[in-house]
Amino acid sequence: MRETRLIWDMPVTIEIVDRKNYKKSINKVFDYFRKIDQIFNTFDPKSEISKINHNELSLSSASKEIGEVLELSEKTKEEAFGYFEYFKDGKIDPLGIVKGWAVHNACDDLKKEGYKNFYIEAGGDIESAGLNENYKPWTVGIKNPFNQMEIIKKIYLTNCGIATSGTYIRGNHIYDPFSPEKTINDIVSLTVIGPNILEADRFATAAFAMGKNGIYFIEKINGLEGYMIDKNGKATYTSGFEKFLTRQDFHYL
Amino acid sequence: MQIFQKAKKLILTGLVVFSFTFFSVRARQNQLDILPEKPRKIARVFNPKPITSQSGDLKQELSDTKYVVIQSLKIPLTAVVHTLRIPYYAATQSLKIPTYITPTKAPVKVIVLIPTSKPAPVVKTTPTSSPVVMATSVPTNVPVPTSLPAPTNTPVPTNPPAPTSTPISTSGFKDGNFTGDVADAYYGNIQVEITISVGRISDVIFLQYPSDTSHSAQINIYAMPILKSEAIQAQNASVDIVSGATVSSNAFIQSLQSALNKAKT
Repeated sequence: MRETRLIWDMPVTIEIVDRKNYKKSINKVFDYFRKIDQIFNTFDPKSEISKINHNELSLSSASKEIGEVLELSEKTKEEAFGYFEYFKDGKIDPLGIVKGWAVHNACDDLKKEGYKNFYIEAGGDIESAGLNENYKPWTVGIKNPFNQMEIIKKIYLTNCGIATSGTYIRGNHIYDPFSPEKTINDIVSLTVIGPNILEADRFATAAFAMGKNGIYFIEKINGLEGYMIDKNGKATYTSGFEKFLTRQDFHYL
Repeated sequence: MQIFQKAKKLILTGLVVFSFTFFSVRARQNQLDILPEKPRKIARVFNPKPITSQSGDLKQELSDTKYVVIQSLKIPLTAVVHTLRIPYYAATQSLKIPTYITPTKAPVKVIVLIPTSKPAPVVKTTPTSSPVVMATSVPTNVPVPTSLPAPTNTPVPTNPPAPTSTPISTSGFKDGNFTGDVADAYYGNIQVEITISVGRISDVIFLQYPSDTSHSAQINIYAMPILKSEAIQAQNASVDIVSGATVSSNAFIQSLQSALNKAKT
């Protein structure tokens, strides 16, 4: 059972393999995403984040989700040595982390409901659990940044998160906080695999802002692997990345 | 006779092991070009240019300082800013950081620019809101004798002063050497020793410094690990899911994404 809907201005897909009453669960997940969108949508003047930015709402009386996300943003900023910014033009804009955070929460909820084999994909970032319908690890293709119809790498994931940051679709939507007027153009795509989508996503965003150094930053962090593509179509990957290239079959299902 | 031969064997093995470790350690040190044999005073931060202005124009002084030198490594100021977690607003000018990056949560407290000739150091302190306490924090970490007005007595402002109106005040420090606490810098420990002369910081020495696993070592090209590279190549598209940069609501790209999702298996 696979379903795609538009949330956060992007297609979000949920696929559940387990034979259960998944229709209800999928609706619940999408409802949760809508709720998160309503809180964090900076374009909506009625959202809590907009009210905070216009001093109409104090942080202490805002939803606990806001506090949680801001804490996470600050943590990421520290861990990435400043290469993660959640203030834009003096306004709080933590959208860079909200998506990964929300998808990870939804996956945790699905697991609590007893689902073991599923994935949620939001705008090209994925958290996968268990195996696909053929009892194999989920096969994920990394898109060619120069040709949207092509896949340039096939990796096998189970119980992992993967996120790709890039400039090729939304223009330069990530910038270096230390020189914002300079566009990042030496690298075009950085894919990060982590224990979950939240870790993969927040570090992919931060590392992308580091430009060519980003892949070395990923290399240093335990539990993260990365695949970076530069403007010349040359890919550089971390030392543990290759283990995701071969499929280890699981026979316990 | 047997004992003699055993002893000879032992000594030989010992020699081999010793020389191996000795030379490999030496080779590694040469490669990294940092650590001396006794890691006592590892590195030193100083401003390669003497600070001419004593007027307190921190912006001007920072913009003149593009690099600091840690031992023999010339490290871009940006890297040191990360390592020491210097507040963004203080470094704004030279790093071209936009002013809208709010400094209220800046995790760091101290900028130390050590002049090479005359003692005209610039010290900037702000309160920390970060759980990570850096050793470079003079007010919180360096033991200050109680007889002196400790810097912790100063009222803690909620908003650090803007870089344009930076009052430089270093009085209230006792002359001498002070060792900071060991602080976790995420990639290793940092511990500094500062020298105060005439009530001002005149030197900062790193007793511990994240070396080969440090982010700063990684930012500067000298110690980067070697990673494998390849030219990207199209593969067959039989995958469950596709990962790519976040797509926008642009209809074309949207349909492309859903097409790719459908095209799976």
